Amino acid sequence: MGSTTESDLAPGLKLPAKTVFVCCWFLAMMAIARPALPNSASIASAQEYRIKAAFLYKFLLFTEIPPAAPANQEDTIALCVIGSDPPPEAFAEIVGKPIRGKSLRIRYLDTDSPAESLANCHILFFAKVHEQSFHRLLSRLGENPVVSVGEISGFLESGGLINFLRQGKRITFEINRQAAAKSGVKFRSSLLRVAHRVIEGQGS
Amino acid sequence: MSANVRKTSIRKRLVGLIMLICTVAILLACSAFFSYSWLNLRSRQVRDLSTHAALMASTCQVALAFDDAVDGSEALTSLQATPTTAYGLLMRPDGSSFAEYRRLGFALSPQARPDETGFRFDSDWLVVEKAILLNGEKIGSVFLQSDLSELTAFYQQSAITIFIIIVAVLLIIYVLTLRLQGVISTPIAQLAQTASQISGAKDYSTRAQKHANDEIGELTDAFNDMLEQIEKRDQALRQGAELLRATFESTGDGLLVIDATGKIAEYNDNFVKMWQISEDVLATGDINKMIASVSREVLDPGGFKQKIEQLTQSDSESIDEITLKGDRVFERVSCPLIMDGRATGRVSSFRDVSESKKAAHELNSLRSLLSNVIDSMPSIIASIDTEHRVLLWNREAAILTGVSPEQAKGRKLPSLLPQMSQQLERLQEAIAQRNPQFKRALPVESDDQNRFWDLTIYPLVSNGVEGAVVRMDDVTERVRIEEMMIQSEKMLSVGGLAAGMAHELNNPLAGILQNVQVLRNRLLGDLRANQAAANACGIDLTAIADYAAKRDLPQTIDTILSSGKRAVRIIENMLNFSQKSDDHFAAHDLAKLLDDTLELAANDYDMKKKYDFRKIEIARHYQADTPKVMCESVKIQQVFLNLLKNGAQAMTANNAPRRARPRFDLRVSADQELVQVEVEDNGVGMDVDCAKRVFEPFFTTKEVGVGTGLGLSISYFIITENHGGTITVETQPGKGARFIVRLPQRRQLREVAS
Repeated sequence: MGSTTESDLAPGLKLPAKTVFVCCWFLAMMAIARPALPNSASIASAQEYRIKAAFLYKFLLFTEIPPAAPANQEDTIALCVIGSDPPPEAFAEIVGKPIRGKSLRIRYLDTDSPAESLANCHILFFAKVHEQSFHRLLSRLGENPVVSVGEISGFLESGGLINFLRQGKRITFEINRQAAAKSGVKFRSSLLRVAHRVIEGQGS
Repeated sequence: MSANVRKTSIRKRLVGLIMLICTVAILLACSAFFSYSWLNLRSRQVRDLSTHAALMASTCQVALAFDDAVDGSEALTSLQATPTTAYGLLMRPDGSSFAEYRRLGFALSPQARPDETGFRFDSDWLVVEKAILLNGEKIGSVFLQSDLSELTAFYQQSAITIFIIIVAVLLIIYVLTLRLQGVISTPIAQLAQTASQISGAKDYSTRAQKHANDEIGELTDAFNDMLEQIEKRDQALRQGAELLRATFESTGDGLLVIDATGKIAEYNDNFVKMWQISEDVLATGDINKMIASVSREVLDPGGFKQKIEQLTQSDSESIDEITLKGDRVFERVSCPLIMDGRATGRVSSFRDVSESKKAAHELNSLRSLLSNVIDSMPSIIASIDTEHRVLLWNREAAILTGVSPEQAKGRKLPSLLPQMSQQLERLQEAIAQRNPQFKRALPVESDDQNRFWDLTIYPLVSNGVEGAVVRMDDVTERVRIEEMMIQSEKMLSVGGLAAGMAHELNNPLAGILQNVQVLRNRLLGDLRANQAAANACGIDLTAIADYAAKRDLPQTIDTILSSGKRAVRIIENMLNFSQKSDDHFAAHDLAKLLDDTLELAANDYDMKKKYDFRKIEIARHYQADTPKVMCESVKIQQVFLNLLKNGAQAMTANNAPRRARPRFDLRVSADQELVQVEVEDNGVGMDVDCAKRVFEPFFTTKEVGVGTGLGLSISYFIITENHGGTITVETQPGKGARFIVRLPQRRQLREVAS
């Protein structure tokens, strides 16, 4: 976390050792102190979203997404988050991580975002988004090659590609290969093996 | 036998060597192969297990990524396919176990995790750990543990295989070596056999057979060459030894060689014959037994043994003689036997020198006889070589020169005999021409008197020795006698001549004197005839007398008369030389005659004027009862007077020695035939020349007119001619003179002689 912050702050900027040390210490204190502030529910939620953020990153690793339309965003992989529930720090760990030579970026969208914004994402996480909303958004997204991930049961049936599940303490996921095949997204077989449930597409 | 041992030995060694080399080679090859295979196997195992781990890592990647332990366990069960893998473990990055697999019946034992290489061997296990990466991030690791049963199996298989290979190969090599070693060993063995044959039989004509043109062939050639050389050398050695032995035997001496331990090493037949030693004694080689047997023959066995002991301890050469019973003498030459610069014994050589000793003895006695003869000769006899060095020097020569024969030998003759220094030419001539040289009465001055030598030089040509024998005789006495005889002959002839002359002169002198007397009488005499003649002539006799006186005529006439009388006296004396009147011979005592003459001289007026006899000491040494001698007393007295006058004159002369008082020693002695009278003064004496001529007529040392020079010659004639005696003088300048008159007792002896 520290090293990421540092490279974010000043790539190529030489800071005095003392300043770096103070910053590190400050950030470390932030990282320890912050989770202590919210209530127990919000602590559990933050932990959960951190795991889910890591899963989102790993999904990208085991998924082949056809080239994105926008040319100006070729050197980034866009992870778009819709919904206000997940705290932004849950994604801090994965921001900037490289994926096939590109770095991962987080974009926050709202439910009213236009179709182009949605289509410009590589992966689209619907965090606690209401059922009507994601129906609408999914339909707006259409068959654009975007990995849509939800965390509500019935998301796959609505045309989502991946949906988080909770099994006791473990967080698992299920995959809709059918919808994926339509949008041109291909999941690696090993991902499919560890998926809790896979909705197989026709003819695949 | 020895050849056999050597033969088998080289074969065995060859086989053994080849076997050893092959064993080592095979072992090296096998161990190399084994090591290679083992390393190969190990790395293959590592590779296999790593591959497994990698496979497992990729299989379990997603399980770890999405925290699916069930999926991980399932993936691990695929390890059952490899029975060697005993344990598999999936770990999270923090090292906690994620999923694990255990082979049936495997008891988990904690194993250390491998280092960076990713694997680790311990005694029983191979462990491999492989990190599981996701997009460059380590999300966990796989840990696999495999047993080493394959390696163990490989060990066993390899051991058996290698053992079989070694046994089989060695067996084949042994058979091949046994068959093929003959190529190398047979020629060597044959060479060895030949060598042993040669050394056994000493037959150097044998040659080794050459098999091939390799090094052994060269060895064989070299061996044969060597044999040839040895054969030649052996032959030469044998010939040399035979020659040596023959020489040893054929030498005339008896030879005995004793080695360093005192044993008899060698001897020749002559030795045995000379000493008559039995072969039994010699065969023992014991020197003591031999000495015991030999010393019976020796005259002095004790000394003989002692000498032998001395010789055995000595390192030097020695020559001595051994006298045996029966007048036999052996000469022994004993030398140390030097071999390689070290004395290794002694060689004694015995020679029978009895004959040569005898001969030498005879030669010695002959030589001593000869030298005695030569020494007993009264002559000087010296033998010299061509360089004039003295070879022989007799006793007379030694006495004369004071140089002993030993000192004289080798020295030059002229340095020993100064007399010879003027006779070198004669010596040279005698030696060169081989002509004897004689020189009679060679005058040589020695000390203060002349001596005379007869010199004879005989060239010496015998025995090849060139040189000469010089003989010198002292003939001084003989020469003196001869001179005396010549003197007396001369005196006789002079006497005869003088007497003749006197006789002839006597008549004219008588006429002169008579007529001078007449002249004086008629001129100065107071005769009537003179007066008558003067008157007749009218001349006054006194005037004539005055004239004569003024012109000293009387003195002149007197001088004529006195001179004439003196001449008459001389003539009378001269006549006495030949006067041989036997008329007045009577027996007289010479001592009395001498005393009478002495008295006469003392009273003689003329003599008294010159010499005062009373100042002269007279010592008389008269032998009592000397026999009387037949003589003319007057003439003998005249002789004595002459002698006394001369002696007195010599003692009172100006140059007479002043230290002593004038003294006459008068001696009268007699023997059977002669009576000898000596008149010895202590006056000035005479030198040799004077003494020689003192008896000659008219020889005088006095001033002219003082003496007639006839006194002693008259005495000489009186003694020798008239009385048949001798008169001689012994004198030295400054030491007086001694006149010796010897008269025979019986006068007829002289008569008979004349």
